[in-house]
Amino acid sequence: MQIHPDTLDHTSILNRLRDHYVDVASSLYESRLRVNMGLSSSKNNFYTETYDRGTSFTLETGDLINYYSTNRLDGIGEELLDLADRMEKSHVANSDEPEPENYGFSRVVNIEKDSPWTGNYDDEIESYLRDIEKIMKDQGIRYGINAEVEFINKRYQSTEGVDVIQNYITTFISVTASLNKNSSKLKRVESYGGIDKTSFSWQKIEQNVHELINEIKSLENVRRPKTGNYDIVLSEDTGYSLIHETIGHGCEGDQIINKSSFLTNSLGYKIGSPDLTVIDYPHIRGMGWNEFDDEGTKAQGTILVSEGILTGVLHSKQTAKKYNTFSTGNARTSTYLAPPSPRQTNLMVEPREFSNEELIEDVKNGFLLGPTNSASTSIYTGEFSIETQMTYEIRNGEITNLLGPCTFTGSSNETLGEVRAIGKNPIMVSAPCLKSDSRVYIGSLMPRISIGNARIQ
Amino acid sequence: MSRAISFEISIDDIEKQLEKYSWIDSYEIFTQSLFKLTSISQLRKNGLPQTKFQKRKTSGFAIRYITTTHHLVELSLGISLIKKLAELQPPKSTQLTNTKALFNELKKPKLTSIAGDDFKSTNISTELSLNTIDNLASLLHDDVLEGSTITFEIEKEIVQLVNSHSKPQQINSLHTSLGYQYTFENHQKYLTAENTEFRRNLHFNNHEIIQNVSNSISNRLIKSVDIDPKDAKIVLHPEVLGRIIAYQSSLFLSDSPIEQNIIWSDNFFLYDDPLRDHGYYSVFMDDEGTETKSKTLIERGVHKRGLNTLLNTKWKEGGNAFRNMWFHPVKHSFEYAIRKDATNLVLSGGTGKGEKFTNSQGLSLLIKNGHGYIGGLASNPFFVIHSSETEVWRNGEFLGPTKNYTISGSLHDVMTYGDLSADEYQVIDRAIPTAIYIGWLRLPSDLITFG
Repeated sequence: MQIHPDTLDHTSILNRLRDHYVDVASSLYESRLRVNMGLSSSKNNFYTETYDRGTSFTLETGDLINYYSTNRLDGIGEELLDLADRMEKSHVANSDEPEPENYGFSRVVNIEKDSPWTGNYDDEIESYLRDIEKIMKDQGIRYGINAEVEFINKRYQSTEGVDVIQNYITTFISVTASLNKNSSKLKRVESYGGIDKTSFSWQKIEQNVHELINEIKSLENVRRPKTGNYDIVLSEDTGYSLIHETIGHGCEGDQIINKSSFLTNSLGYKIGSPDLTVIDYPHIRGMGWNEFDDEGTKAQGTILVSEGILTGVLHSKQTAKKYNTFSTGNARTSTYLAPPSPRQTNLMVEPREFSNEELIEDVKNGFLLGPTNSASTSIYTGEFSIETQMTYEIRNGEITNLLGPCTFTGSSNETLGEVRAIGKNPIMVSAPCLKSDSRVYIGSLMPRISIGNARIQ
Repeated sequence: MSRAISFEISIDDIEKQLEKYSWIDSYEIFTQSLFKLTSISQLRKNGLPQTKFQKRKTSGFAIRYITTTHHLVELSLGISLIKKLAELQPPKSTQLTNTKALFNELKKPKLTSIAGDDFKSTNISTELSLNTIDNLASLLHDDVLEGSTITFEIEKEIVQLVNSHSKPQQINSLHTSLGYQYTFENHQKYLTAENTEFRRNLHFNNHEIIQNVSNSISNRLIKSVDIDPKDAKIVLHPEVLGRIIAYQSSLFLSDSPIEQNIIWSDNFFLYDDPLRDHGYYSVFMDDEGTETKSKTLIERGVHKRGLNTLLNTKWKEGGNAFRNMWFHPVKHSFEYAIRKDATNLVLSGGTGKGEKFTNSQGLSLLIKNGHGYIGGLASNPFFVIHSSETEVWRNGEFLGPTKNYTISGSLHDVMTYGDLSADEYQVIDRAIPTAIYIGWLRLPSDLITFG
């Protein structure tokens, strides 16, 4: 389908910049059509299209770095050359820099054909949402159904000879059912994300929506779990929140270099149970998929934690340079207006041998935490909190009652050390990740995880 | 008359395109040109600072049009995609919300600028950035240069709004910030002290920025004190209380309540005050062209009302329609659809000076800073935050820092039983486009659960 105009080629600007004493010049061009559609029981339906294209240039000279982002795509050469001249004047040579990697390749990765949507995307997205709406309407539930679909065309070029084009489509659909309880609102939200058709199988979503309706109806008459320390099983969603908030953010190269991560100086040390192995893996077709990151580096898998030992850090080229190593291909950005920084792609926890039933039996008395409502961490201390949408009580190794939301808090170092068992049936989880002033999507293949002595507030 | 503005967005060109379509009944055009320069300088004792510049220029427009079949369509285009306007198709019958209303006539606002905003007299340049950073750096001692970072940000924005019945209205605004951050080691732990001033001009108080960081460092280098937090009164610094309220604000901003319930102490008022002098997010017209005015959201503890856009009230009342987005490098953009948002939230009804709260008899636990407010984005008043700067005081005497707790509680409970000071301390969080003006809060410890 022809969504985007011709992809811009910045070769001539980059070559001119190289002639102006810039060591490395690169450009990240993005053309992005974002379609937002929403249906709701209050009839505040909406459909918006946002279409922008722009380029972010990065100019490096010695240890000076300039970013220049613009969506004015004509006449940018002179302004950049002026910037390059200024950099040349204030250049400070640094002979200790590691030699750059030997780049130099071009590649086109085009997987938009695998998306659930074709050129008739507006009708197709609406039809999909209307089918979900019909189920909600039939049950008389207050609802909101939102879709965000992005048609992305990116091109990274650099004076090191890299020229990579990637075309793909991301889709994130969230279904919310809500009801008022006392003065607050109870919500059940299910989200579905992915870059290809398989993530949006109607059979799976139809079943999930029916379950969600039953759950929100049941939540009206339940109590919150009592504060205390319990053995718990994390659902795939809360497991993702824990690993993402603690290990995922804790291993980002910029946090490590700024010494703001609680995992600073922990490489090679035990940070969790020997059962725990965590991998960042961009090649799964989840929301964090890419073949090349936003600095043109070939994306790769990175083992962050191996059997409880911290083994990896997520790097961009900038952080790798300061760390005297190579980029892991994790430089990501949500827009040409923000420089890429080390971010997670798809997080995987290596599955172990336990079925979901065995995990519940093993806990005996405690809770199974339902999907996440919101989660956060203090990157400085590793303290985290995860608020669930609902909780199941476990008694004598069986799920007995549905309870209301709870908040699971703790210190990463202690909690990850209390991992008792890991399930064998991972499922795909998708979620937006908020960091500072940037939002990217992350995917995850996550099994259920049981944890001992967890703090529930 | 030409309607061209800076950065060459021509409203005339856009209107000409729209007027070609006989199926468009009326339209509204929002144009934006934005220039933002961020300069981050890492200072070094021996040598030039390492400075990174991030220069961002973006311009584009958003249009909303109502068709002859009463469909409302919304489209945002970056400046290089203006040609897309030549390809518009009538909306499909099943696609969009029906609306019979027309865009209201835009009235010239009584105000045309916000007090304290130096848009006209300020030009963005790298020289200005370097001078501003140098001025602050020159006040630092040699021993704190290494490990120090100074960040200066300056953003100029021009917005124009026009619709098919009205002349264009324009808003110019300037936002700046200057911050100093210092990372230091204490007992093999790395700690960061930082302070940032947010302004609508360049009148930064450099001495105060440095003094705040310096106080934070010296207070945290003292030997840590262990107490049972249950024995102390809890004092929330405005930086903490303001963020809790900002991140929980969907509780009282989104919907007007069906019943007007008492949710906070009957001493307290919460206003959205878009015309506040020097207010960081003050603005005299919203993005649908409605003149802004102050609104009382909570009056004597009673939740009176939420905020409105013309669209969500079927063109009856607006004033808080903004093209804002949380957690984005640009908070306000043609790229974002209109949503309800607060401008400057002001909490009043407190008494006395907050700094004196730690003078009370017995132990006080002062929570000066924290992280993890995102956890409060939930739809209920329950919050959890991780304190990162916590102090113990006794009878007005500072005893030392203490461990950082994870604290949780109900916003409504703490605002019902807490004592609020009368300060209007400005709290800005980079992730969200609302400013909070708020005092300190003193609480009995049984309202808080400690982790």
